[in-house]
Amino acid sequence: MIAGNVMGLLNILLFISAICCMGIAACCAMCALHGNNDRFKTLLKFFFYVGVFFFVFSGVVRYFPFGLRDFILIARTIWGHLYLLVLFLILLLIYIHLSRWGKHWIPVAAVVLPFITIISLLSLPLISSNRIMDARIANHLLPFHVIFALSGELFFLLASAGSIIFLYLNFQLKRKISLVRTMSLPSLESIESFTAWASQMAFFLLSIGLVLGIILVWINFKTLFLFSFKEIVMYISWLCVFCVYLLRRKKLAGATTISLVTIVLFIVAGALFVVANFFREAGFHSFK
Amino acid sequence: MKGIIEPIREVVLVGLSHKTAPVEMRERFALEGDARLRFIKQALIAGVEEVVYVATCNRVEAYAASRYPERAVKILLELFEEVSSIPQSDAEKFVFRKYSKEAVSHLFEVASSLDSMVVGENEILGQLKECYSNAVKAKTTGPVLNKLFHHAFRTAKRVRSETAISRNPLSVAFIAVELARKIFEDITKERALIIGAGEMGELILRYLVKAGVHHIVIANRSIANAESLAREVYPDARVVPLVEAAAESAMADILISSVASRDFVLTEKNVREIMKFRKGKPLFIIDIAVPRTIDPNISHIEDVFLYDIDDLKSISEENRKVREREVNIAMEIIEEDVKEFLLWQRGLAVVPAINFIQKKFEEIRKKELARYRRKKLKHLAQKDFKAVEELTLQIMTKTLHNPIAHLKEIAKGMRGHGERTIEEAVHMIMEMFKDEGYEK
Repeated sequence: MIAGNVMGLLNILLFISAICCMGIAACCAMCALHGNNDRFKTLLKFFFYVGVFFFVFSGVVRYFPFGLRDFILIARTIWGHLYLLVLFLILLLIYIHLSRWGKHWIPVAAVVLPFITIISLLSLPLISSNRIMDARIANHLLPFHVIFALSGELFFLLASAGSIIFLYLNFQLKRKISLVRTMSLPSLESIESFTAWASQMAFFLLSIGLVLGIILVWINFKTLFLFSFKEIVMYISWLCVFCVYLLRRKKLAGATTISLVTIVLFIVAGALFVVANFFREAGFHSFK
Repeated sequence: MKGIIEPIREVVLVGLSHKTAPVEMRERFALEGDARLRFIKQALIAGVEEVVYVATCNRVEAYAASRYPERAVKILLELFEEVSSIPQSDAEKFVFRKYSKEAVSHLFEVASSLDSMVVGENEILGQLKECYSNAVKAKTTGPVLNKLFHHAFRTAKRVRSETAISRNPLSVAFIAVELARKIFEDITKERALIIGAGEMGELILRYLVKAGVHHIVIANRSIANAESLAREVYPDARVVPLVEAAAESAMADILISSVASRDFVLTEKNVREIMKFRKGKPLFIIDIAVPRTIDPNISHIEDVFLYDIDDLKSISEENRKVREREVNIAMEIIEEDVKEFLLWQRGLAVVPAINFIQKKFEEIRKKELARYRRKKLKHLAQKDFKAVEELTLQIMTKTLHNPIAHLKEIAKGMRGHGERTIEEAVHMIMEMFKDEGYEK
């Protein structure tokens, strides 16, 4: 009992430390991007990797007592779900840092790290929550539906991150000031290609997730649509991603407008996603 | 004990730069090809132990390393007087001399481009390397100048990588190309249209060609002038008359206008039409003509980036300020590296003493071994005697390790000994090993 309390406290302390480090790293990334200052770059690396250590350690402390057999529990608890989401973003950042994309790490970090900090902060009040995902429908397709839908949302997040960087660089170039602030950024066209790719991935993954969801509903309820809040949110999210995909594919507007639309639609889809999955307790595979 | 504590070779510098002398004066001191070689060889003959002659468009300098710094400076001044035919008394106010730390620091600043007319320029390091390489080939360098120049190159590399001193371009033409690189994913695939064959347009064209742009169209009133420019800069460029410029601009990604015209070559309406067909692909326009020939209102159009000559100049000015701010960080790096070099140089003072001690011990060891081999160890087999030899060598090396390490640290001032005590300390150790009676 005492050991459990100590581990719980350690989990909270480590998680708060991780949030602090990620928050500082996010500020350093923005300063490094803005001023092209090497000191901020060094601080960014330091706080990011210290934050990663705290973050991973907090997960180990939380789930170690359950053993590997219950590892699936991480994804089923509401905090564990968000933990995995952040872990995916952290792994993505580490990959970009160490891969051939390394020279573009700072602008990506300047956008992704604030997201990591915000998601972690949102998950902090849920750290001791007992809410667990209630599948309600037993079907092997369910995990695939969740994974595809979640991956689609994450790629949409990347597309919106790319759009933010695009607008920043576009703004600096239009202001006609020194190149110092844009030194570590890739070219406008490169950012645009990345954003287009991420939007395309988001569209395909979310579409697969949606189709799997329809199949699940059909198998279990013999209908294609239950008019539940969760389904409506899913369709709206898909519609947002589809709009972005269509705008880019057909080049229906200028790159700046498309970037703005991407960000706005991501905010709409992201907010609905968070409300539907983490705050509402109704609907299948919700956290109850 | 004479020759054990030798004075170290001090670094000295005699020269003149854009900061101290006008170009008419600098060119009198500047030497080319074989004359440079003769200069350094003569310095060596006259008694300077090591010398390197450095000449760039902004400076003429001679670096030397000598145990007699004043004499070395005198020799270099006399040689400069000879080559320039300007009496020393007249050249006095233009020529600077620097000794030891100041000279080392100066070279590090020169290599790091802090002493250049355009702070952060990249050419100086290459010029310096060439001058040093000439001296190495002529065998006029030695341990001190070799170490000094290599250290200077390393410092320059550190300054370039750890500060933003040379990251931001200052040349207007280069800025234009850098901006194009920030807009397009692969500049080599883009189409460039040059309207007018003006001087600045030509310069930007040269940079674009250097950057790998190969779809180039030159539009000019005089076809002959445009063809001449194409021949000179990029023979594969297509030449069209000025009246076709508007039509060609529909295909261009990079547009540079330097033509003299009272009317706009490109209006807002033209560009809006063009952008409809570009489907979000950016258009980069540089208007360096005065008066401007591109309607300034087009800069409000989405995905169009218009820069005029003032915009480019203000970026250049801002970059210059950034470079100046970086100078302080660069100076900290230089100070650190100068200290490191001077410590190494001070360590040289004890090298003869260390050699003397090692030699003396080796003599004793060999003499004693030979004596024992003749008498007490004559029964030993060759293999066993070799083991004894190895043992004595090990004992000697281990016995000497501490005093030698101590000596090196004293020389570097790491143990708090002042410069005046080095000699005393070395003498003290020498006295320890001195044995007048041994030779008998």
